[in-house]
Amino acid sequence: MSEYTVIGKPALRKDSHDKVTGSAQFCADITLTGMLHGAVLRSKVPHGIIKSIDVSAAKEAEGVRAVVTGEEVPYRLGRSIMDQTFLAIDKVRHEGEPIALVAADTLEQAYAAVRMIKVDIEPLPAVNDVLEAMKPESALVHDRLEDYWHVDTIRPVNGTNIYDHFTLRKGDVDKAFAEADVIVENEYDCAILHHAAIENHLAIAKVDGSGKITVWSPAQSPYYIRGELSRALKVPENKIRVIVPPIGGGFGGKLEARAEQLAIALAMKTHGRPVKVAFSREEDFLAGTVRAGVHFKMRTAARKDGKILAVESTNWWDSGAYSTISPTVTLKANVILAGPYEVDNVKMDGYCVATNKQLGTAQRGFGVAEASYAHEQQMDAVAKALGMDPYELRMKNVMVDGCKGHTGEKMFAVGIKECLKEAAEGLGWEGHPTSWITEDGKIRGRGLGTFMKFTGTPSYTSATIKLNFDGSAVVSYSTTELGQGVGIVIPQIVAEELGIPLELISTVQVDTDHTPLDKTTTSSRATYHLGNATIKAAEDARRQICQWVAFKWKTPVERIEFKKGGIIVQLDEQGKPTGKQARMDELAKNGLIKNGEPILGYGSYETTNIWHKPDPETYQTERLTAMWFFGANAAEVEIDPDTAKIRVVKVVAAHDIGKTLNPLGCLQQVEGGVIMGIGNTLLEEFIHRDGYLMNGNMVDFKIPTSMDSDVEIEMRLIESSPHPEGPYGAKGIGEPAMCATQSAVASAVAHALGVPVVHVPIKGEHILAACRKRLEEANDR
Amino acid sequence: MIARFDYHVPASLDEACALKKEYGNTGIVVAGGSDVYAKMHLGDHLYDHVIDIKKIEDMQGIRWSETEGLSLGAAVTHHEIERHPVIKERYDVLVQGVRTIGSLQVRNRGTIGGNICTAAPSADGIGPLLVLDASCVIHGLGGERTVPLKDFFTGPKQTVLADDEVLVRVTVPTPAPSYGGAYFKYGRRNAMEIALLGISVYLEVADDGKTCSAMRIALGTSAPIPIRAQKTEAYYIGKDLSDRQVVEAASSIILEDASPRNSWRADGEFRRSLLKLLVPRTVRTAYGALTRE
Ligand SMILES: Cc1cc2nc3c(=O)[nH]c(=O)nc-3n(C[C@H](O)[C@H](O)[C@H](O)COP(=O)(O)OP(=O)(O)OC[C@H]3O[C@@H](n4cnc5c(N)ncnc54)[C@H](O)[C@@H]3O)c2cc1C
Repeated sequence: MSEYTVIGKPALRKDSHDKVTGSAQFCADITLTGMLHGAVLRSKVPHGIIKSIDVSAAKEAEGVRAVVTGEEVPYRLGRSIMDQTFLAIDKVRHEGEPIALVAADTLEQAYAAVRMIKVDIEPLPAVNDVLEAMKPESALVHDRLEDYWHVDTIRPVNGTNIYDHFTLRKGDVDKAFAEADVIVENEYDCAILHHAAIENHLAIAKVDGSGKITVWSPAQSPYYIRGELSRALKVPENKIRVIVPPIGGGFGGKLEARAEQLAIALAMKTHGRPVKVAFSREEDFLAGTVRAGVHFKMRTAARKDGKILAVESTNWWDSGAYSTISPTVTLKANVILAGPYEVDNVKMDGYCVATNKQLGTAQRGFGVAEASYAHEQQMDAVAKALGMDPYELRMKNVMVDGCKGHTGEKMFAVGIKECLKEAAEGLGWEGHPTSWITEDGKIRGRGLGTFMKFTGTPSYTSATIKLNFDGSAVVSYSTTELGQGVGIVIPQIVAEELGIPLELISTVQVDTDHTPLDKTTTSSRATYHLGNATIKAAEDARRQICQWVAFKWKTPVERIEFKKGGIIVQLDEQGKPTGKQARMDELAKNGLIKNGEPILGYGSYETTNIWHKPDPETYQTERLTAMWFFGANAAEVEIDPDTAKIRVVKVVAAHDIGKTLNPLGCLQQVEGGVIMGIGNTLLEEFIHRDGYLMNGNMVDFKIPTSMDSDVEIEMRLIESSPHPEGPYGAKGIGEPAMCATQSAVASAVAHALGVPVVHVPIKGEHILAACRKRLEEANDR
Repeated sequence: MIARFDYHVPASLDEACALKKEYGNTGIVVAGGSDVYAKMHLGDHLYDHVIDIKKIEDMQGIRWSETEGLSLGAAVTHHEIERHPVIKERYDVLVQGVRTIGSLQVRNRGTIGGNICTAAPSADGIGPLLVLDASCVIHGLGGERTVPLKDFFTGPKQTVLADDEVLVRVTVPTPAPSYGGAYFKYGRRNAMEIALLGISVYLEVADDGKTCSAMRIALGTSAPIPIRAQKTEAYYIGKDLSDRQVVEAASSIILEDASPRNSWRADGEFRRSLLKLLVPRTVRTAYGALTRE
């Protein structure tokens, strides 16, 4: 029998019913008394100088209550670099950038008034491509990047389009390449993608008489948004309140403030009337956020026996018109760009680059899926050069406990070997070819993908548990429910720790005026960080319960024991049970805490103490992160040689989960992650012409439909490397779920066709010739 | 968001035609609206008047008899077509085509008349009707006329419909008792996808079971309008369709019929390569689907 009663058992998400029946009230469903509707005038050109704006007609239009232009709200935003204003002021830097705002009684009136605004923009040449952007003669997106305030961990360069140049140096790469038996060198491209959450960006803002700003928004990380707004507006944090209704998906896209600042800009002029600004789908494509495109140059050195000696890369991330959190994406990808392998010599140069395109930001994995694709293509290329089995090559090089990571730290709780073994086994790798032709003339291939990823550190969070007199409990925290399942895993932990039935535990709507401090909902960090905080909050609650019970039973508190499963036992002087006891799951009946001292457990968790600041040049450190995640996918694809269409037949996803807290939740993450990964690999891309987005709608930007999701998914959860500091040993699964799918599918396609996959998404155009060739070769034989 | 418009619901064909003529460029006829409203939704003020014809009696229903053939009301939805027992049995190629349109929701809304009148080169309903030799029954203030579907399209997104005319019905003759039909759609996704290529084939063979006696091929997204591939069709007549090499040899002719464009949606060269591979393949599929008595 398991040592746990709730942990490790499948549990249905608490929000399932509301979401399935449609009773969940999303931000779009909220109408406040006196609420006005906002509309946005957006730039039609990707790059240009604003010569003039004439809002006079709009101001006079029917129903209009406020009109705002950039100069009236010169506040600066930007997590890494404060390079963004609420509205464009002198210059527009991407198609869809907001220029002016209108609030009116009805949405129709607001739109009509926006159409009356006249702007005169002198177009400038658009910076359209990262490699072009790096050239000295390139036009500049921002004239003087260094002059903006920026965090001290990044290095923008004046007179260039470089937001940041990240460097990692380990060992002696030049020497390793000189000594290598084989060197493989390749370039890889990943297109820009959109998060395409089902809910667009939107916000409602209200500014009351005291100047207090309240924002309703599906913010992934409300405290992060609050911090940004507080810095921008120079208003203390207690004067900004962010309330988070149920969120219709985020995937990283709801990390940045997009609609919030626009709603606030209007609400500052509407004398207390709330204003809603809701992006249309088209606006969301143009002015939401995207996953940056990236171009990798990769070099890998290996010894004849398969030992990887060195990995070197320069890569350029197409981070768009404003930097947002994209330097962190560049960093996180470069730290792991040599893969979950023991490599003594690593040299990485990652450039985070400005272009006149949509804003690159985090998307599920912070660059890891893209990096994994590049390092895994390299592994396949090395295997081919050495005539080795791709699985064997990987097994030979995978990291193990105690090895030195790419950042020089001593690695622990490393489960990659088991993951890779299980993934390959699930597909029946051994003794099976990696490329073959089926009886009906289709080309099949098999491939592998691995990844490693770290969670952002230092970080902090906190939780409270309020115990009601009837034995039910309310747990409150500020990690948001994005579909990742935090709203069930945290109640599970409370149930486990306090012995309260799961159905008697509820969670609270996140609200920065009420729910406790939290850094962010990103980085697959919630189970680990908030889980630990919740365990501490439960401990605190237990202490208070014991104190109260001691008082009630007139027993010294040392003789009250709170046992697993929530049984409170009275002990005699020898420490033996007296027989008097009470159960937590019967509080309603036994009335033990009724009308007693209210019980409110509090717990926090933060990781500054374990973190060592990396050297800015080499990025070497004693410990970079609270937690490393590992995982491997094995994929089988089938390609129709007449259409070059790829169908993913099966994916085996093995994850170093540490400890499974909710297997049902894990399965949901893995299924969603695999399908999202397939979409990223085969379908999704932004297509630009001269900085203009061609396919900013749901027909032309192709996310997989249910008809494209017919793939067999097998999940294997690896628990052999529990995290010593994780709750019950757990790590995380939200982002990992999709981190190795792109690489495994690309690997399978590369194997099927015998050529490297150098561009993602993999389109028919790229591979039709290779398909024909592969078929001819097969026919010749 | 959709700009404001006046909404008219004519009860008869004549009323619809009169409204259409009256409002000219400021008005638009709408059936399911899946093309019209999608376009209007982008916010530009396109029309002052919407003329909703989907309830007009003459445009309703699916009629069929062995002698008269099939008659589809212009307001019949794709979903009505795809689940109709006779169409499934006798006009399977049409079912194959409309079944690929959008999603079930779109097929519940979208009509065959709307599909034809939008006159998109990518329309999945048009190709199958072209190879089934369909005709359009058109009503105008001056009366009714019938135009073969292959003559219906006059230019990119343009049709023979005059200012006062609407499409009432689509008629399809009864196909030969033994024929083979197939529709192949190439798109990147398996649903909610505009065809990057649509190939429709209808063929008949002689008594020997393999010599081609009739061949009709329609191509979508291969020219500015939906077209018939006449040179390729001619090539196949009299050929042995059981011989794979003979069937595939048409790939050298197909580009004389088609001129797919280079666009950001797909590379022209790629489309041409696909045509060469997929037209013979669709002919093979149609041959394999021959209904033999
Ligand atoms: C999400 C989505 C996916 C789609 N996918 C596909 C697809 O895969 N394949 C495909 O072919 N199409 C697709 N379409 C397009 C569209 O659904 C079809 O073309 C549909 O058949 C249009 O029919 P409707 O009745 O909705 O046309 P409407 O929008 O009502 O009208 C379309 C045009 O036809 C005219 N019209 C309609 N009826 C008549 C009439 N009786 N007489 C004269 N003029 C008339 C209208 O004036 C208008 O110009 C898609 C559309 C959407 C929104």
